Amino acid sequence: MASVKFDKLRKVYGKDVVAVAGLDFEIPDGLFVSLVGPSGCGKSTALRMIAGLEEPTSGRLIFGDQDVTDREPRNRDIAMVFQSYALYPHMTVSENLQYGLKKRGVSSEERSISVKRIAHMLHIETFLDRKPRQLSGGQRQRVALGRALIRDPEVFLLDEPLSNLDAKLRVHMRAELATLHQRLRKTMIYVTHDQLEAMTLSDRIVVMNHGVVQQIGSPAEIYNSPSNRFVAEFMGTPSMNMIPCTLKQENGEPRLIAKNLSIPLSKQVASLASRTEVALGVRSEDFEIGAPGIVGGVDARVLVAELTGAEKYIYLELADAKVIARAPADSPICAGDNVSLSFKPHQMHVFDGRGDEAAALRAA
Amino acid sequence: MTRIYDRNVAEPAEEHRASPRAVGGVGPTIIPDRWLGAAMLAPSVLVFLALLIFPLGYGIYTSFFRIDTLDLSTGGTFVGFENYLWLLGNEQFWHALKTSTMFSVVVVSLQIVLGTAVALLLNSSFKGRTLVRGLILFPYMMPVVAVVLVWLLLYNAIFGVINYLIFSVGFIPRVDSIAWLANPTSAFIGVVLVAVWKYFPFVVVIVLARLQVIPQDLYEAAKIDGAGPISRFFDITLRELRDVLLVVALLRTIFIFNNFEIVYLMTHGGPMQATLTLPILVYETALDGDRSFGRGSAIAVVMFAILMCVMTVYFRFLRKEDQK
Ligand SMILES: Nc1ncnc2c1ncn2[C@@H]1O[C@H](COP(=O)(O)OP(=O)(O)OP(=O)(O)O)[C@@H](O)[C@H]1O
Ligand SMILES: [Mg+2]
Repeated sequence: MASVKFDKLRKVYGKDVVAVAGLDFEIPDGLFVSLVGPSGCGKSTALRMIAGLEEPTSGRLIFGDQDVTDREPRNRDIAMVFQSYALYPHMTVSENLQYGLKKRGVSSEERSISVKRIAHMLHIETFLDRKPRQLSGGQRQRVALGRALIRDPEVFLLDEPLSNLDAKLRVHMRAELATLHQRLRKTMIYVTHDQLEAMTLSDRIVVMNHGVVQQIGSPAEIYNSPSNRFVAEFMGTPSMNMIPCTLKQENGEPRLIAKNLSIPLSKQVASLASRTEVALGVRSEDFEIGAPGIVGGVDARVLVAELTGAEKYIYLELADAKVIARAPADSPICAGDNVSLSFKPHQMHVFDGRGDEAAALRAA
Repeated sequence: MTRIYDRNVAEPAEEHRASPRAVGGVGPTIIPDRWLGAAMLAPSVLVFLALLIFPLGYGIYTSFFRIDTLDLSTGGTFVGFENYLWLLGNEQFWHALKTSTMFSVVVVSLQIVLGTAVALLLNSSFKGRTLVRGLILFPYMMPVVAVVLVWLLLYNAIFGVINYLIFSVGFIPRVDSIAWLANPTSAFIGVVLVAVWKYFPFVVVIVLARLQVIPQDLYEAAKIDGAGPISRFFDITLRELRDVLLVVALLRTIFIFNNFEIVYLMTHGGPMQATLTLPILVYETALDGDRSFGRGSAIAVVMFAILMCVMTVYFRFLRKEDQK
């Protein structure tokens, strides 16, 4: 039983570098949770505080029902996979795997049984006698995972474990990690700046920016109902399109206006806005592209059409904003075309302002 | 111009791209490529021959002759292995070999232990670290003669600071109870201490450089794996330092085994030959007393051979360790 609870956990480096501004949430036992955010937002710092490698400036950290804030890393029943793997360079793979058990006084027979089990699970049996430098990146990555798994800890901490791998191997290891979690059902806390990894692996995602939690939720929640503009733009590729609009009443009906664009807005949503300068957010897949002049559509001009393989990204100029829409790969649209864009009404996000913190306005 | 043009056409394109002369059309005097290469290498080969191979060859050559040092120009008389036979039967030689070996082993061990310890201290963060890091090089930068003079004063039995300190703590009954450099055992210890003090900064600098590149996350991984400070020191720090320590040990051994000036300036090899090392014996045989240049050369050649053997064995061992 090890849920991980952050109680106003805060870390300030030196006098005024606020790395983590106060984490206050609980990760239920057995979940796979990702901490995502741009570089420097405090993900690693948060993870290192859980590991006990960094002392929090204030706040408490609670595993299950035990306060572990002041415990040494080795007494926390955690294991960590480092971004650089941090394998002991002069030890063989087998010795690397065993080291933690050895330091905990496990007998050598038991250790070799564990090594066999882990090596089998991660398909590293054939190079148990090699040194880390004689392994490829992916193999090292597995050994690092193995070193964490072998001790069977309550909480796994992973700091960007896949970021040093090439794209193909990353996808493969991602799947392996997912399977592993299915099997072990241990709490895993996973740090990444790759929102796609977070989306595909996690039960819960914690989005951070500048040391502050922006939103916590399931991947679907985060993707479909981002709580603010930062989350909306950070999650998803391509990034959510933002069209600056003005909120106006026309004939008593609230509308979003921008140049040739005028979209009706529900009264309920409009009443939540605290200002008239708002932003309309639309994901690239929520546009429909049609022939110019279609009823309900907005005229737009195609700047570039980019084939990615499975589909086309259409870059358009819409009401002074540049937006990206997706189209099927065989779509005939090309640069210079005039088209008409229509919106799927339930997939529009309205943000109360133009900054990162602008909250999403949503009818209850 | 025509000539260059012709050559360019005649030769494969590869070559004229690689050859600097062909590119710019430098002028009529053209050195063929293979001569150019030799010409450019020649200076370093000559310097190498003059500075390394010639003295070594000359030393080996003269070790087969009986020559008076004051009469080197005559060339002496060829005596075959006579000088070497003399050496093997000479008690002083065996004594000096033993002293040299002990001196080298003790000095190098102490230098490594002290140097590593100091490097570890300097690697931790404290106020004024940069200043101390600079100061630590001080003994290494001081001229040997100055170092020896200072230590001779420190060791002085009557007005030396060392005796005064030991006396004031109460370990000895009178200030001049220990005549440091007059007693065989204490003279050996005294010379060892000076050699250690003078050259340990070398070890500090190299070990410190190595310490600074040990990835910090190894320690963090070990902490999480449950290793305490002592385990971390042995399993990570020391293990990471191992290679550099082995090389430093070899370098220091070669250096100290051949070192003449410290010992000679402090004790002249005395008292009662307690500090008579091989370099001093070479000096005494070839330049002092006997003035027998051939015998001196023979000792020097044997020293060289011993060091070569030590190095060979050492590198074999290193390579085997590496393959493990
Ligand atoms: N030892 C330190 N001393 C001072 N500031 C630090 C230290 N470690 C991290 N920081 C600062 O704390 C902030 C958060 O750092 P952290 O390493 O947690 O970022 P991150 O989210 O993991 O970024 P990345 O994705 O680049 O790894 C950064 O602004 C960083 O500069
Ligand atoms: Mg990080």
